[in-house]
Amino acid sequence: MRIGILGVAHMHVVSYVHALKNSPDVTIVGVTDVDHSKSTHFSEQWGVPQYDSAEQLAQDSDAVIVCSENALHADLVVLAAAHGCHVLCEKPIATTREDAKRMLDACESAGVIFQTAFPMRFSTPIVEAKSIVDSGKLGKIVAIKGTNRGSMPGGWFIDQTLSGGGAVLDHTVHVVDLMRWFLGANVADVYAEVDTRFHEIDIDDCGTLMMTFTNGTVATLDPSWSRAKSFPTWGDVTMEIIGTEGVLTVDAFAQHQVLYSDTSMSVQWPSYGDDSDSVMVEEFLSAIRERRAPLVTGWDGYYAMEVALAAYASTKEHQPVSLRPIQTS
Amino acid sequence: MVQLILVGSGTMGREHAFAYKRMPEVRVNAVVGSRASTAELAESLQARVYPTLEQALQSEQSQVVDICAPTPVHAELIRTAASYGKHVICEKPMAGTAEEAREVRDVCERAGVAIHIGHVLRWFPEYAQAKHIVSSGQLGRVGVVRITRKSPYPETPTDWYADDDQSGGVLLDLMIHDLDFALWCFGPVARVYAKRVKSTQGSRFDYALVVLRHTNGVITHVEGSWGSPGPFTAAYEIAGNQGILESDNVAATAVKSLWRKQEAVHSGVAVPGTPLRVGPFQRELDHFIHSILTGDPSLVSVDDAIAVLDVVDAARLSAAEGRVVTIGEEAVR
Repeated sequence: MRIGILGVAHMHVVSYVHALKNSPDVTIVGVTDVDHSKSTHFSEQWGVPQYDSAEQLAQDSDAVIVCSENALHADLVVLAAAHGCHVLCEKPIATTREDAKRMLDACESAGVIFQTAFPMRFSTPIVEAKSIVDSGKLGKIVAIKGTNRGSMPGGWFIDQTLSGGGAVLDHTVHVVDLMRWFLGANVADVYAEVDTRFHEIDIDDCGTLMMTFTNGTVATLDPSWSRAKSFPTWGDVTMEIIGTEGVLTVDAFAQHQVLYSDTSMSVQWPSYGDDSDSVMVEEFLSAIRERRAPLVTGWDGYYAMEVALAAYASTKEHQPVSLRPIQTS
Repeated sequence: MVQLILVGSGTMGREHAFAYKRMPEVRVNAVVGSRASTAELAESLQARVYPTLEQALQSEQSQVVDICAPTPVHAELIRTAASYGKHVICEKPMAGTAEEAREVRDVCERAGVAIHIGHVLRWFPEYAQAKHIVSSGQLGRVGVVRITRKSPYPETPTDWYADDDQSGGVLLDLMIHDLDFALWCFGPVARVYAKRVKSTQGSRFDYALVVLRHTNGVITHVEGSWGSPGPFTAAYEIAGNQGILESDNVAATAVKSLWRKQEAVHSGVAVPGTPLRVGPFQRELDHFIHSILTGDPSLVSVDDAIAVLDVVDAARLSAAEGRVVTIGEEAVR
């Protein structure tokens, strides 16, 4: 299978390439980026051919992984679909509903797979938590409290024209996707307080969302880039799932040691948990081989992105915003 | 020497009595109530028993009345004490609603008596210290705050907690502590959005999530839960642009016992504890008594006790009507 890398802006591209290199019968055809110096550097670092043209790379590939800046996803995915390439696209899939629809339509018309890069669906602790929820032992899920706190990534992430939004767009999508997956329901409305309070930047870096799901479950989410520079790790993904019969807490990155280092004069949390990125990439490859829909689709990416966009609308009016019901294909 | 009449012999009555026994400047002359526990508590204090506050006030010397009876009778007992010219200490909440609290404040002002509402969290060291750290600027500009309080479902002989009209549910009775903490640390609240879920069948629970936006921009998320399985939990994380402060009573448990034979499940009302030579309730009551004796301002003003009720009222309204509530809109209406 021939895989092309369209865009190297997102830091996860490194772990995806790593996963691909460890996959049998996968060839990394090449890498491209709007910034040729970046793609050249990447090409040299990872020993994969550099392409100047995304079109050419798509032509030479069976499937692509899109890791460009958010605002550039749409054109790349449409291009890939036009060349019959299956697509794994970084989150958020797009920065506007219109772009997202374009991508979904293009992949559907071309009959290619569109998977959204939500690695948390493949996190071992998260998967185990899901099986407990699925067992029904928790009873009815009445509320979920979620967090996906992080650190301010800088660069294109804080450039509205490239990212489409700050912390709320960046970090709402992962946990909203998990909540949708766990509940088997969509978000009906969202109220958000969004602001910039941690960094001197021109984009949102914090917020708190309160959502109602179509099945009645209420949920809150903290997507803030609020981890201090001195924090022992980059951030977290946690959910506390409140059921009528019990409460389930999952901390996706709890599997870590605590290292007190005089060398670096810092406290660190070395992680020993499984790598979700490689499992996610494996799902993409399996879906292609088995000619089936992947566990997490482009539509999942759309629904999650929509909640983030609604959060931005909500904070402007200081009112909850309803999400329009959407027809799935 | 301050002479005091204590009303109530339930969880809070006993908690206050425990403190007063260690405060030589306070003499509890009487305990008001008509339960078996009343006589028991009175005996331990060498105090007399009266079935009503009026009778106690008529028969005993006192300067202060301390109200530890259930929420629905707070306002009326405060009025009674004020009508006899007695200073008042009263467990939180000051009243069932902010409106009622304002009426009570006016009554006490006209009577010229002090009123001290037991927002004891301000004397729990992990909360007092948080206020200090926030005020010192160590965290820089505070951005997002998360606070949680989870307790077993409170059970009493009359089961009054389960009646919203009496207890105000988890939002009034339990979360008021953390809403007061948020106001104390981060200032007035502009708007509130809350959701509440409760179950009165099977395993009872009363659960709420509240988002506060303070006028200075801080965003505070508060979770309150009655009927959570697991230990009593009181935790917070305060994230500012120069640091993060977190606290979790479960993680900070100093003394933990695990028994080989399973203990019977306790009923009652959970009150958090941590080994301290002088407990938070004693510190609080010391402070109130001192304020009464000297006229020095108290750490909790009457306005504070009313302001938190404005927020609780807003949260209850928001949860009931599914909308954002702006603080002060009720007054505008």
